[in-house]
Amino acid sequence: MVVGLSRRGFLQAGLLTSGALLGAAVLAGCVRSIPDTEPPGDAYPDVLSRRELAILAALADRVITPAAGTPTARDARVARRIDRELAFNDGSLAGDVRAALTLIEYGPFLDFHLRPFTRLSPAEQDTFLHTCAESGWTLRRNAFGGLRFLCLFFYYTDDRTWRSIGYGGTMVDRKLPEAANAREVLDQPLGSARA
Amino acid sequence: MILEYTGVTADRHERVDVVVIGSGCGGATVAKELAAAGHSVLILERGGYYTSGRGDLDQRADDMLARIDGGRGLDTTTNGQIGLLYGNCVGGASVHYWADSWRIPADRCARYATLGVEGHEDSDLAPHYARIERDLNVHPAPPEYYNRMNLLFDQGAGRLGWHVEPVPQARKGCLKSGHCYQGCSFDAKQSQLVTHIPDALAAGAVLFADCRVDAITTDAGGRASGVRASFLDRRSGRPSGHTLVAESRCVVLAAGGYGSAVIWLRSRLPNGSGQVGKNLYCNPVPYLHAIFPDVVEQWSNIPTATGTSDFRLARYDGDRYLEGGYLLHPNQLQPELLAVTLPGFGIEHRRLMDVLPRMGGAVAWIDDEMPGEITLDRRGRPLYHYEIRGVDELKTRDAMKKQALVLLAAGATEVIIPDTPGTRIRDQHEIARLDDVDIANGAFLFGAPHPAGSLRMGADARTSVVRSTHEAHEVPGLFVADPSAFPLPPSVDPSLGIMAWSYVAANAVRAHLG
Repeated sequence: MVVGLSRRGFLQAGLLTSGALLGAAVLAGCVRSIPDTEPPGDAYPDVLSRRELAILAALADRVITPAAGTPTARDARVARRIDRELAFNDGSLAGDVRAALTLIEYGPFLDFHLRPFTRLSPAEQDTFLHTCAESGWTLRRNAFGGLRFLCLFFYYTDDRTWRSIGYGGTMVDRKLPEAANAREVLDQPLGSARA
Repeated sequence: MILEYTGVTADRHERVDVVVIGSGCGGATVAKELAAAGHSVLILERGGYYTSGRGDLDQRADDMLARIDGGRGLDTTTNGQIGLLYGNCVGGASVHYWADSWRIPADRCARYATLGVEGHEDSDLAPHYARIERDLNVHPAPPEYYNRMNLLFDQGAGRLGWHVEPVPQARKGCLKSGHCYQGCSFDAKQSQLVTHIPDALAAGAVLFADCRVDAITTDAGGRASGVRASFLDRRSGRPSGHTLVAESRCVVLAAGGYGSAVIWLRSRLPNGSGQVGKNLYCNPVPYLHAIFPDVVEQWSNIPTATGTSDFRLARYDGDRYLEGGYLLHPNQLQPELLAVTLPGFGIEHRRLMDVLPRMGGAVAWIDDEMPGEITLDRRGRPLYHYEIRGVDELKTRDAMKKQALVLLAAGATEVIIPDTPGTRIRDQHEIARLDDVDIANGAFLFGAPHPAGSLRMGADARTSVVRSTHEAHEVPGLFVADPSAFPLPPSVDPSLGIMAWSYVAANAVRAHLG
């Protein structure tokens, strides 16, 4: 069985909060362009903006600690796989993810940081994410929880991670679905899978 | 004959005796019965058609959630508390089910009778069960199908003095791959995909996959007269531009416990009782993990060879809840799915992943009594409102304590609670901490694979949606054949019960058709 990730109702209710956070950050002059640190193939996401993709990639870096010899979250193109998955959703999930990313990026201002998440040091990012995970504010907790779920799922479905966790893999060959979110298809245009 | 999205090149207009919406345990069973009786049957399935023969069932969680799960495995209740697990493929949820095959307990059938359900007593269903159990090779799990976690569960339960029993399994020639949830790659699990669907097709039924029903239509007299539907492009999940109009003498709604009420509401069918979409039960499932001294590899072999029904019925002292109201089983999750249910992030999560082969677990299936509701948003998308509350919260906490107990008794060195702080239980004295674990919105992960109740059956049109013939009180010619019609959850895995009820429904439809 699977557990869910969308925190739909709360995140939609939190859009105004996210917007307010963003507005406050802009007014404070704290929002600068976020460097595009994704690999070149990820420069054109399907659903998210490049900024949103960069926030997601930065978050995935903190959620995933790779074992020795296994890909990093960026090598596994976790953020881009999530973006591709959103393209197959009916739209509500993408809205949730966007709202959650806004909360993560500008949430540090609530904790008296003067920088957004992507400009914090790794240690500061970890501290902030712990604050989110343990927050009594459901919206904040769910925003992180939902994104955490996505990052872990799309990292550990990369078969290069399996040996490190003692999993021998499947008994049959892979066959990509028509609407695939696999790393191997991310550089192909959406909907180009062969019928 | 099966029509898939690649074969749809124009709009279609069909005229048949019966349109069956959905191809899972309910729809497939009704369809094969009606086709065998000589009726023309058109089955409409929103999801795709995937088979082992074509190599579609590749056991990978990412690929298979995308293929066979509703919402691609990512739907939740509106509060994010519960992941909704349902099928979206030919064969429906039976393609990902665990093959557990329980008869609805006689006490629950009797309870249904008190709620106005007629003709669905245990004795009424017995001949249907016998037929299903024969056709699907239902049998107790033999010893070779007990994986390490199943053996540990039995050891722990034995030390606690609990009775355990083999769980009836619908399997034939199982290769123990452990990828039941991803759809059986070897056609060993006796899902509808390899049983009643082929039977229906052999009897002459026609199946359109990748076909989303937009509305059930009615004639001037308010009788169900067919459907309007859109063909989907499987590459995007979006409408291809081609449509279907199907005219029929009756319609069988079997889109599942999360789907049928949605179609009803979208169709704007009569809802004089106000009960359509209400009474949503979902059998919520808390999972507890545990670290054992030796290798468990919970992802090997079948998920649930064993379990205990000792706590299936809740016990009360007057109105005061005492204990029980759930089934307890060993758990099985594949590593990718284990990863997302383990608490923490970064190095903390990494440390848990490092001991994954020694990770076991137990699940509880909560027999919920506090229903939620299905509604539509402004764009017609479903919203699932559900919160574990009241007596269901008491049951859940009691179940988690029992899960921790059995895992510790089985030799676990540490029980891991998948709450936000990642609470750990290391001995029985710490189990009381489960009274204080935050299980509210987003702080604890639940799954919900067994929806029921949102088109409930009953004798009174003011308080129920369908009568005991499965025909809608307010829409003649519309029959419901899926767990939406259960007035309460069946307290066990519902698959066998859905099929048995669907035999009753098929008989009623045959009588309707004459």
